[in-house]
Amino acid sequence: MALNLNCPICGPRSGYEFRFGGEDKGPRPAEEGATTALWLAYAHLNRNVAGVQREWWCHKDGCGTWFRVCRDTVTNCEVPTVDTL
Amino acid sequence: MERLKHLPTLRIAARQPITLRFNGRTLAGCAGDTVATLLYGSGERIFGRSLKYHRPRGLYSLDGECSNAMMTIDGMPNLNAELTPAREGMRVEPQNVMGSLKWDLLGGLDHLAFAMPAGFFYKTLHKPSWLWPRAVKGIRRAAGLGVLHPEARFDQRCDAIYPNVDVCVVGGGPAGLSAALAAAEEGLRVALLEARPRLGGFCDYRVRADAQGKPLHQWAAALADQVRARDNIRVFTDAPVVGAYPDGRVAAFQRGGPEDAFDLRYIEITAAGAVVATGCIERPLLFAHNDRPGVMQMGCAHRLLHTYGIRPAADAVFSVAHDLGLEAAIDLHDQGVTVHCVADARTDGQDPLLIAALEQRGIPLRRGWVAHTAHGRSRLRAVTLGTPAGTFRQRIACELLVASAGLTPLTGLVTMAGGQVKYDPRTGFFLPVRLPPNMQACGRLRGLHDPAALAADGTLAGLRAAEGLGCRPQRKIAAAEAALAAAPGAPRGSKWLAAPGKGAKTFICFDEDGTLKHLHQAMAQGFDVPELIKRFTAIGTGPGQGGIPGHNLPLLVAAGQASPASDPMPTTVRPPLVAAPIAAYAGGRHDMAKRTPMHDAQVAAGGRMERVGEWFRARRFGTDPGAAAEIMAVRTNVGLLDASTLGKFRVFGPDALKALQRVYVGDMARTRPFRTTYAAMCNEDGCVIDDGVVIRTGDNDFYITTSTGRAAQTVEWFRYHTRYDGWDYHIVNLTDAHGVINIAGPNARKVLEAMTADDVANTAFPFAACRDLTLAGGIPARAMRLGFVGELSYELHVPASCMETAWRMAEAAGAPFGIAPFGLEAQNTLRMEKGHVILGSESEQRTVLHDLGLGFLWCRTKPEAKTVGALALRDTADQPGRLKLVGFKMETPGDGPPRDGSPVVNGRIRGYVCTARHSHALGEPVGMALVEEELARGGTRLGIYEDGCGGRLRYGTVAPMPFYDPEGTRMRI
Amino acid sequence: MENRIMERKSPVAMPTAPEQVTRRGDWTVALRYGGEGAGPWLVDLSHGAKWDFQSAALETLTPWGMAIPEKPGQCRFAGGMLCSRLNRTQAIAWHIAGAPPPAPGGEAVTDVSDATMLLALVAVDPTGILEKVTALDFQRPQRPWPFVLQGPVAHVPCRVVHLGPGADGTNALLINCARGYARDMAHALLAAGDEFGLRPAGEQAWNGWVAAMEQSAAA
Repeated sequence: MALNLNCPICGPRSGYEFRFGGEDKGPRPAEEGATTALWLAYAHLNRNVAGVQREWWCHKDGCGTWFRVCRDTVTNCEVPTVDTL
Repeated sequence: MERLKHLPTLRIAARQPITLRFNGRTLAGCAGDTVATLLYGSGERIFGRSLKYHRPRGLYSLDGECSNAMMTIDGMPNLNAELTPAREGMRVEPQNVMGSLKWDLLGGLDHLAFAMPAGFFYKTLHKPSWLWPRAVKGIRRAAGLGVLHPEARFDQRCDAIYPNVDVCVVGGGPAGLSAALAAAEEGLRVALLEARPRLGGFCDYRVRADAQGKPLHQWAAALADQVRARDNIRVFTDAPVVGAYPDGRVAAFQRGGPEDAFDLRYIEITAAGAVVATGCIERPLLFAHNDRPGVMQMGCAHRLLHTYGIRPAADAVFSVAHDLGLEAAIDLHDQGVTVHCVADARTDGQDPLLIAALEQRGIPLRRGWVAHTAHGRSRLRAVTLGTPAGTFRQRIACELLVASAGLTPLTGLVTMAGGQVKYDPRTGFFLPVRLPPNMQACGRLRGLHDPAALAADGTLAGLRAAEGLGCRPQRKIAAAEAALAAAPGAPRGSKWLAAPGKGAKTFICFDEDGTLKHLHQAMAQGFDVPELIKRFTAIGTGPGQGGIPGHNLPLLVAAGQASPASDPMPTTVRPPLVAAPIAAYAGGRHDMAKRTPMHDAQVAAGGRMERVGEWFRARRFGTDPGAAAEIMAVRTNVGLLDASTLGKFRVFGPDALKALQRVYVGDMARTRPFRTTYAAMCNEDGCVIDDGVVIRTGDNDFYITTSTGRAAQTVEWFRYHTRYDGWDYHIVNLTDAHGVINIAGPNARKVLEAMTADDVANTAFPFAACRDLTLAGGIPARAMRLGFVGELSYELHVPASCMETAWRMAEAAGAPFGIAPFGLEAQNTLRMEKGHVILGSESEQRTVLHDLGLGFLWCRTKPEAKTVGALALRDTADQPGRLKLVGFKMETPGDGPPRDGSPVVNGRIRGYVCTARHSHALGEPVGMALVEEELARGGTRLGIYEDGCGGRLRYGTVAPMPFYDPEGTRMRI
Repeated sequence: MENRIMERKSPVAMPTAPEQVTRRGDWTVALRYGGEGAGPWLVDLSHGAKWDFQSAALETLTPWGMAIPEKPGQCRFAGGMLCSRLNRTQAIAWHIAGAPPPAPGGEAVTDVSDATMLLALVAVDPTGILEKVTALDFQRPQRPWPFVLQGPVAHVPCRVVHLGPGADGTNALLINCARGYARDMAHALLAAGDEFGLRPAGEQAWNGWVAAMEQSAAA
């Protein structure tokens, strides 16, 4: 579905220039003592909200920056950044 | 037929004749004609035969809304003659005709229509099962549109443009023109797209006067002139829009004339705001035999007369439901067509001026009357008009029936972009109720009709679009709002649907021969939603993209439903909005491929170049598919490989080591200066995604190589997996900066010695070392001793601009030994003999590092590591039930190697062959396979199934790897 | 073995051979092509030196006494060197005119002369040509020249620097992408520019444009 994103370096661009990097799940868990379940949750389990979620995108065809945006998964539109997610 | 030559609205050059060949005859028209108008003007009335019943079909609309006028033009099938400009010497053939247009051999199918009810294809001829494959051939022959001949060639000039504008206006009628002007006056960049060749929309062919007494065509032309005079409006005519998208893009394609640089141009506009002013098409009038040649829409008759100077017939009857129909009747009368009668489905609400004009001309107006039946077969002979229930009827002989149930707005772009439409009971239209952000709708699309209202509404839409982009035209907006309020609002629309009866010959959809009866059958079987009925009956799925049935279908479905309160629901409109040639989408695309610096040199040396990912690479030199000579040269002498496509990167900065530790599974702290370290990258699942070497070139400075396929994503991968860490490290992509040649074979050192004065003896430059050398002529080269192909070999990384010189130098230096270039095929066999894997060949999505026997590359004990994939590697280290990589030899070597990808079948499918080749060094076929762990033990017999083996398995035996030089002495000499 | 003459080669192959060339260092540089006319022109500048600067503290670097532009997207042109800021930690400098500069030193610098190709597009109205190969918008938002946009041109990730209108309103843009794409990129641009009369041109035409721009900037 058609999408526009605001690259923090390059400004608004077509979604086709970007690569999706998944939901923003925070830093990697420590390996020491990590269980299989913990790894699974980090690597594969997503919240999949119907609504606003914060996620990573890479401007692969442009400046190459990885950045976070908030996107409404219902309308597929970028929304202003929400800090409380 | 003589054209009318003195009409002010004429858009043809009546004195510039054009001739074309139709069905073997030469027909004449003039410049400005479409193929359809030229044929009609020459007296042709049957344009083609219908899809299922082979009914004769004629000119119905002029905008390509149905397949009636689909023809094969200059060998290109399925072109709509209504949309194709006539050119001198064109060859035009009708479609789906068996015999002649007039006497079609399959015309009798029409009488068998009862045997082809709704859902025919889903239900009939499927049992017994042998029947269908035979039946389908017959059906395919009888049904369908044009035929593409295999020898047909099209040399159209296709390209694409991607303009950026602030406001994109779709529709060049009065509303669209006004919107474009209003937005342009705010200083914005505006694009205006019009599907027809001329601006002006439905005013372009109307001579009626507006409120100021000016003929509408003059008024529209003046608006168009203003638009053309503005240098911040780009006008695209002949450019139908195929889609509007939620991201603000509008896609169209444009037909070019001989003076243009293209025949077909794809236009993708990026716009911050859009104004949709697509206006209306007509809602077809439903009655028995409403598809007969001689029945046409009011706009079609009107435009034939005024735009093309063609009297559509000597006499006509009108059955309409809109003032535009009355206007057309008056204009046809004034140009010498005898109008016997105008039936208007509306009982009241007509423009009194038009009624007076009809009276003045002595044309009878029957209010509330509609057409019930058209008579005649290949030509219309007469029509039966009557009251809605048919209580009173009258049969009138005539050549032409102008039939229309009113208008229907083209809201497809609004819904496609994410807006919503809703049935409006006053107008009977589906009107936009919610617009996507940054989109405005205006004009007839909103139900308006009066010219002043259209202009004001367009202006308002243009200003609102500008306002959405930060302009502040508040006073102009207020003025436009006042003008709109003062102008007449949306007129009431006709609700007329269809005359009573079974409707076996009342066609809702011409493209698919879908009738009212089919619709009733579908509803009787329980289908109650237009979306489903559309799929079951195929109504609206033809090349006309639902133009003809789009409005009637939901109205009929709603009318036929038990609950009278339910609102009609339109079917979903999807791009392309109009049938678009695939060439329009493909046209402007260049095949963008990468070439290495040695591309030309390899081609000159007989290299067979192939696309491998984004690169061109040499598969082999010469014609031998097994590349035996190239392989033997490397094993016994020396060969030369272009490996420039390897990914190459400089990684540096205070935190460079941390970044390497994160993405490589090995311990990168153990890398030593100018020693190559073979290293692998895994994904979170422990699956191998990349392998290459890491070389420490300074304290915090590394040079790494990656596989060809991963090079484009390596920087992204590093940054992704360190995105939360804020580490200070940098990556420079040097993939294209350095060309790479691999000099491999027992004589490789002698070749290198001839190329450089530096000491490259085994003691000074041992296996696995990396040296920065200077080649003759001062060419810098970073050299590595690696063993991918299992022989003494040097990989030279040379600045790309010097690479060709270095390649020629190696060729010259190797000439005394008979050095020969080798390609990917030879390399594939050579490395396979060594048991070295190529990711993607010997690995798939599920293959973890351990499965390949490369578990030793993973360091479990990296201090403070958070290594991508480490947790999964821990969990899979001893996991049962995995596919493991094994080597195998064949039981009957003389039969050659099995094909790559052949399944391993021991009772059931338990793996597959990855790569298998004849090994020239061993004199027998060897290969690698991924098999279930239980089969991985040495000596296990593997049953291999090959395509076409007729159930006779071939057998191999698991053998130890590497097959060749297991001690690895040859690469260390 | 005899000491061969080193020949450095540009990855760009124009459809016609130049009429006049010069030998510079190990390069053979095209000075003039036949039928160049008054433009629009496509000029191969791939032979110029190029350097990549990456550092967390780019503002502390002053190669050739030139401060690296502050914000991503900004460029600076001085002494024949064009320096473009690409993102927070990366800038790139291209030698596009005049005498070759000395190589800058320091850990932050990487010589990337051969990593990319560089083509100059000189045209009074380059929009018509550009919009056939890219959806990048060089007009909005309005930016002071020179500026750099990073995005796809002919579906290939590129850096495009708009140098602005020169002395007589003729615009120049520099198109930079991975070296391997050079041949197809030149082909795609020439094909796009065909209807506008785009022709291969040599360094003389380019130097003329740069000199005129510098003069008008000084005045």
